[in-house]
Amino acid sequence: MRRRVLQSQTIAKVCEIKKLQKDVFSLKVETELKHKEQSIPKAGQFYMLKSRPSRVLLTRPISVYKVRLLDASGKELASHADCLQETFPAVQDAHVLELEFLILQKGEGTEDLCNLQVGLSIDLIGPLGNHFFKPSESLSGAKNSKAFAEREAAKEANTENQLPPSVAIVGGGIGIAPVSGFAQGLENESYDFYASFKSGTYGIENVQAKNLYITTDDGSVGIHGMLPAVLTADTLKEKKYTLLYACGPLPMLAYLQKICLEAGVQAWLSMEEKMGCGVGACLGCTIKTTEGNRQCCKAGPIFQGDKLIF
Amino acid sequence: MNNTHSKTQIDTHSNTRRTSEKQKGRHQNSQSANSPVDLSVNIAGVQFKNPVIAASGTFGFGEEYAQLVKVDALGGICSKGLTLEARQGNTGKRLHETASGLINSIGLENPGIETFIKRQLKTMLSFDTVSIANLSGSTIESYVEGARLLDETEIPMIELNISCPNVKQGGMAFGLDPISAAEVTTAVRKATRKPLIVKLSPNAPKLLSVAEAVQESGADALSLINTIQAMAINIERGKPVFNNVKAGLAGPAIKPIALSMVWDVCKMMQEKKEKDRIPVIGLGGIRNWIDAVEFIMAGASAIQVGVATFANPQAMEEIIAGIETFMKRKNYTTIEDFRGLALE
Repeated sequence: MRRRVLQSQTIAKVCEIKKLQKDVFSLKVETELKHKEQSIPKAGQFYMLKSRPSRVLLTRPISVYKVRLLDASGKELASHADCLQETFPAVQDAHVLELEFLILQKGEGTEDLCNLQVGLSIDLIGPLGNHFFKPSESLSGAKNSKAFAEREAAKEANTENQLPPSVAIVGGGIGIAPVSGFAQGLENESYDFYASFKSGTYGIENVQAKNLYITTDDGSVGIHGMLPAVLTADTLKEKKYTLLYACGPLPMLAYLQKICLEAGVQAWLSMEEKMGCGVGACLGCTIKTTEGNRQCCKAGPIFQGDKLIF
Repeated sequence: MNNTHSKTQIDTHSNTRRTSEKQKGRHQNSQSANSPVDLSVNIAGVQFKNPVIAASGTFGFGEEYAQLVKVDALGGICSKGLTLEARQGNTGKRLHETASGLINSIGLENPGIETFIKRQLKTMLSFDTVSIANLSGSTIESYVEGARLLDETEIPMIELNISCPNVKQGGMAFGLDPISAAEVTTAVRKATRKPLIVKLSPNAPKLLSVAEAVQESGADALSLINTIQAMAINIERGKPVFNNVKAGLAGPAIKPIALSMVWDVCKMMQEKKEKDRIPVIGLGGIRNWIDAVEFIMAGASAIQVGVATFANPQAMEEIIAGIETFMKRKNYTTIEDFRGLALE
């Protein structure tokens, strides 16, 4: 019995590493796409990474920031935005998959990854987990949401001018990576983007938002403060958002759940947990939802906001 | 549908070891380096295509790893620890990596045996490998009821878990002393005719007495070791990392200890008459073929791989290939040819 190969375990070569902040690095690696069925990651998916060699035992889950498809000579065959299109064709021949990750140096595992140099390599397992759906699909997928009910009601009423969903995308700290990558695959200025950092910014240079709101804890860029300084239940209502995507620290996601519930905004939140395997086998990354325990690595990392129990 | 797991095919002579005379004879014949090697092993009448088995709790029910691992290439797969009732597992942090090790406090999160039979068993059995149901419980009654339910299925083998350190009720408590270990083994033995492996805890003060006791109570095979009790402290909070305080250490860090314990139990077996021996499955921190060969040379008939799969999903396939290459180089044609060499 032959199964479709979607996930794979490979060794990828480091082709670029940049220090973005004191403890934040961007790591670009290349891996050969060997199987036709091998998946190109979608926005919000992650890989398990470990530097070769490494002081640590286990791989670390890191979200994809950007992806490109190159030919053998390094020429771009598909840009990041191309790769995120639903209709993107399957891989025809052996191509090179270029992946970019943003990594926060937290412990020995991420430190080894951040200390890599061009030409060295990493262990790579993935792509893993679920992914962000585009705004139109996100709303139609969330059948229980108030926003969905309203849109359906509008359809029933035969409204000619169906408004596209009004989208807010929120990234906090290193959580900027998957949401920024996602935003860069959407139509320009089809969303507002909120980015919150401790100090300075990274990962948002190519975000083409209608409105970009930045907060920093130290006031070094944008508005001095944290996310609630620019985004509250009232602002969600005022700006008539119908859909919100976010990734960031747990307290930020809990806050977003709360204000989205209050404002009746559908939220898709990307969660983080320590992971052993990344495929749903070790049950180390169990999180609580209204539907019972779920594995962050397999059922997630992205969950419908109102289903999470913080 | 392959039928190699049916009860009728159980070979009762399987535990007999080849004599050393035969071994020497074979070596003297000095077969060509290309001669086929036979990696198959027979444990309690169940035929495994090779001695490499995925350890319980590290491989889900097989399906989880099916995209990354050629499950059909493995000797066997053990299910996640199953209990009669569904369990939510432990709250708080569940994993903590240490130097060459991983402390876990999962707490037997599982769907319950009935759900397992309805939802996961069919897929698990569809792989061309030996499926083993890992059975745990909190009371003797729940172990027995679980065993009865499993007995009615096509699962070819049960691994009785009396060594999980992460649940307050039952689990390891049964495996720590010979009397309670014997009690639960006897009860489960009566509830099922399936070949029964009993998984031992390294935390038992008298491991050999527990091994002896479960064998006398009807175990067909032993597997050891489960995780070693351990803990970690979050120094920022000044509190233990795990809500249960203590948890179980696995990974390469525990391999030399596991090997020593497997050697002890196998030595004990070797001192028995041949007909009184039962096979031992060795596990604990095995991460490559050299580790696996060490356990076999310590007397293990098969080995299990756990945490190594997390770090390297290909580990088991690499171990199988590595054992085969080693056997060719050494002119061994069967696992028995080098099993227990280091006991002599």
